[in-house]
Amino acid sequence: MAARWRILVVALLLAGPAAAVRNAVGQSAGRTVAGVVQDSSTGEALPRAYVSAVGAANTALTNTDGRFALFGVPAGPLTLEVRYIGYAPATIRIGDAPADTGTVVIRLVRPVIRLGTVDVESQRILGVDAGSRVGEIAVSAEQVATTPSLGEVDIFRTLQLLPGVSNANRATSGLYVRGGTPDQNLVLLDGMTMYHVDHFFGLFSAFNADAVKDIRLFPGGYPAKYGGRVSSVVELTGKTGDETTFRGSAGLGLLSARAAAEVPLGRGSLVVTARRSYTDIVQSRLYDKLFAVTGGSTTTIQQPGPGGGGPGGGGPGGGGAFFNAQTLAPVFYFYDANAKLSYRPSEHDLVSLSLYAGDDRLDQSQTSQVTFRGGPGGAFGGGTGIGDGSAGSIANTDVSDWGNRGVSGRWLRQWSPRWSSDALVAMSSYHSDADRSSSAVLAATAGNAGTLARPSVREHNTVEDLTVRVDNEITASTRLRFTAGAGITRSHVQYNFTQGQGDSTTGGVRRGAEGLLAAVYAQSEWAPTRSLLLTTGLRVSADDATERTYAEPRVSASYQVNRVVRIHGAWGKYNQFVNRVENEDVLSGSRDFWLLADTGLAPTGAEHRVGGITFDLNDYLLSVEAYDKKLDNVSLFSRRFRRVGVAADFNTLFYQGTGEARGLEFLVQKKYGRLTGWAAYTLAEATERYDEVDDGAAFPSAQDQRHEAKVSAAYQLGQWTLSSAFTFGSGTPYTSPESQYYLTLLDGSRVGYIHVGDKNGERLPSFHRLDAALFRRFTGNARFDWEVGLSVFNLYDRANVAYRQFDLTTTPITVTDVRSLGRTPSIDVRVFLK
Amino acid sequence: MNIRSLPAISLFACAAVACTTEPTLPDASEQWVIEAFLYAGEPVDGIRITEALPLGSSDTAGVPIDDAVVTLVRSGVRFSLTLAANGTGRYHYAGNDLEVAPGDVFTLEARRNGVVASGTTVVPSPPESVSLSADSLVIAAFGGGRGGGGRGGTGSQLIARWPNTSRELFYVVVESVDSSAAPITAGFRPDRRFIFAPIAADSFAVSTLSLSYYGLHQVRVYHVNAEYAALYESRQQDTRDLNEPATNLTNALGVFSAFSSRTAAFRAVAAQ
Repeated sequence: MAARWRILVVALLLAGPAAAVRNAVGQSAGRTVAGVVQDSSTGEALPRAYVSAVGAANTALTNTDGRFALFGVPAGPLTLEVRYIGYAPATIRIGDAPADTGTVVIRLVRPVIRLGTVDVESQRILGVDAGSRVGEIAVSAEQVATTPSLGEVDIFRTLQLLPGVSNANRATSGLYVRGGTPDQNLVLLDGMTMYHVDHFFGLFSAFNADAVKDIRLFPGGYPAKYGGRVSSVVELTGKTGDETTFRGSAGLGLLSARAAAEVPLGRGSLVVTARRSYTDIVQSRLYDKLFAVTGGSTTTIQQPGPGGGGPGGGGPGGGGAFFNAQTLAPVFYFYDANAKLSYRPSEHDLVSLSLYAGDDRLDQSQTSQVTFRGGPGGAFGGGTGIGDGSAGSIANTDVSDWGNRGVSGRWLRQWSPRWSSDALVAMSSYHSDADRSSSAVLAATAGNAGTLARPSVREHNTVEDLTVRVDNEITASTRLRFTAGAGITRSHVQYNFTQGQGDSTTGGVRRGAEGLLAAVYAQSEWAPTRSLLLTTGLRVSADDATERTYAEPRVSASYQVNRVVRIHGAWGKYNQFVNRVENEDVLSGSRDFWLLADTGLAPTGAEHRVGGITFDLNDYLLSVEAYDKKLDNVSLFSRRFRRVGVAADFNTLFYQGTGEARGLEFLVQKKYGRLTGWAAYTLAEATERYDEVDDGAAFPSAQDQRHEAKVSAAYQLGQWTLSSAFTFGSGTPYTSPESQYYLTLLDGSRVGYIHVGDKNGERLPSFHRLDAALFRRFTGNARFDWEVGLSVFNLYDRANVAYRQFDLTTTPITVTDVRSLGRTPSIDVRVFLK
Repeated sequence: MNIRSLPAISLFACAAVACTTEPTLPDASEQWVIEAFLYAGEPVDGIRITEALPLGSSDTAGVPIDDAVVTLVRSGVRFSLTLAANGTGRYHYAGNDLEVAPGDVFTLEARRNGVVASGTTVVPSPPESVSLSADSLVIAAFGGGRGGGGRGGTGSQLIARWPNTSRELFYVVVESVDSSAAPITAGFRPDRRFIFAPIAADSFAVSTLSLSYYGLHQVRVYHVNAEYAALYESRQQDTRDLNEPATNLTNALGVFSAFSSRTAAFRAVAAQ
């Protein structure tokens, strides 16, 4: 019944714009003003800039190519006001000539605040825009540049400070948006889907800020244009570059170096950026510190080897090895590169080709000389089965390699001031490979030389997609805008997991699927009055992998009560066909892998409800927003419920359940002036439920965080920018082994077990951290400027717990709190060629 | 908000620095382990309750729980169990009005410190029949020690058979029931009872190697219930996966199960 009502509401809301179209077609009064908004120094087109006619109701947003059109503009001289995040607002007077005949070019100035030449008190430049558009937050490049970081300007670390986005203490750059997981965010870079968004186990995001000009986050209730994810959308638009002047920059931090170049090509430009860590060449103290946080170690260890076995593990254990010396010198590096070639065949066309490649590789393989000792040993742990006193070696292979590749070709066409199209062909691929295996070799002198099988785990995960899509924007009138489009995506996802002992396999998963997803959507933005804006959309997807069609209606509304107060709400349905599944690992932390929904694994579905109120008090913005997300077919892969009968086939160990996330977000933002920033607090809850887990009882999701508070501030002090970010979060849940017990079987044998507590039944301690940074840009000579950024991560050296690790191979069992990064100063220097 | 806010924020943040505690292992004493087995036609004395062991313990037996109030419920009738002996955590039913029969549904309740652990099991039906391939098993003379290869030749095993079309689990107990019988190896008196691992089969070979005495023996074939089968299937926990046996108990670890059996007899005789 409820579904019928919703369909009725959507139908009524769609009928309104249809009636408005009839009215718009009949409108002949007024004129059309079309134009383009650009960066004043580089000519870079500025997407989603807000253009309004002063004294009239005409407003417009620029498209991806910076173009806009205002319709029904009253005759006579006109003043246009243009605003874009990170730029000084501009007002332009237009004469009485018919504007249909020409394009108004509006160039916005992006003041380099750090040069101290700008009166920031009067310029009213917005760093983060959380209040202009319902369900959309824009972040300026300037904001990203001044947010404290680990030496690298980091887009995602800035997004993590926004209300409703959490992550500050996790080993990933991924965003946990309103109780969702990072895989539930659609991350688009020039239309390419990015599946993995971080480097160095999450210490840095995978996107080079030098290559990105526009950053948008749609945290929920997002438009029908976007599909395939159930939590949020992060849309990154790459720079098109300066079409007239060569520009270059180079930067050096304590871990990596980077360079960027903008090459003018007549009617187009080429932007190339590259970044690479030199951690495989020079391993600084900072690297050692960062690496330790990821769970690795570069230290020399001299300790007794694990005893093996214990309860379970097939025996009493005992066959350990004594590590005489173990020196681990991991080889690690990451790189990413972006290139974007733009070309304007005509005033109304822009063709671009974007490429992205990023990779991380970690090799922790080692060979240790050992003296074996002990008894027969268990099946797990250090049990080698070798007698006491034998010399030999243990060779551990531990190699991980992961990354993204992507390429997109785009053609933007302005058919008329009312109609523009965006045609896209994009290809993305993600890969993650891990090989953790080892073998014990007994020296020939021991008399019984040979190689002994030891535990091994191998994982291989790939996601490949090819998308062809066309989006259209049609502005029917100043109060009515349509977007509509269609696309197809072919995806191929493969996951192989093998668990074994030496070369023999004791279990695994081999799961691959290919699917073709076709989607069409239509959306209207209709303003029946000057105060009310209704957005209605419908997205329909047909998926051949699951052999089903999915309808996703979406509605949002905002009502401007008065000059200060606005209320808004959104409702929508969403489906996700490529899902990241939790591979539960109680002992050392769960990992995830991507799978494609098919007839055996249903796609994740979500229903969003969002409502809020905003108070815009000129310099300050206050907002309160509530959300509720219901999810179905969330997935879990756990070997904890494995039985002997299915030991070799882990494909039966996938479980699907339901989830719910709800919360209340509070934001106070100081938007303008020397001191800018915001304070945000989120009260939230995220739960999941699976029939097979904990007797079907609901449990907290791994990303559940009841309280999170963030304060981000930047102060302009002459030529210096001082910024700080404080975060507090209550503890996140984890699953803990709780006890051990023995049962006597009827054949007289006594078997030991480790008992694992309720899923996510324990919580880590709450965390808090203050980061601070100091920036200054120096004017060099006629050829270059340079910039220095000093950051201190975790200023007061709080020992936050990142995760808890259990080692069952020791007697007694040991628990280790792996700490997040302590106080870490870093420096970053950049040189800009003029 | 002004510039003075920044030091204030910093001060607040610094004040919030708390001492971090070393990680502690979860408290295991709150968790009970119940091993409760009922046998059709036999007295109830196989119920044992202990505390779980802490993760850091190297013991293999939990602290016995002697102060639990343990009750068996069948068809609404409650049977109170009593502690068999102090310090054992073993409970039995002292009366003679409780007979465990196939088809009975039993609920076990154990109450302690306001916490009730419970579980339910159904007494399975016994095997429809048990037959042996021979009435006697001939023990050949051997010269060497046990395992020296001396026992063999004709008649070195007999086969016990029972119907099992649905591949359910059974386990077999071979027991010397003649208390005056002579040991096969002179001067060596091992256990009279051999218990074999459950099998999803319809036959079992009783070998001379599994006998220690001459004389009358019983082959008892137990029908294993689902919860015990699950326990048995999980008998090898992989410490990487921490796959625990499924339990039919609430608020406790372990198992509550019931068995029914049928017997056949044979005689172990010395070769002439």
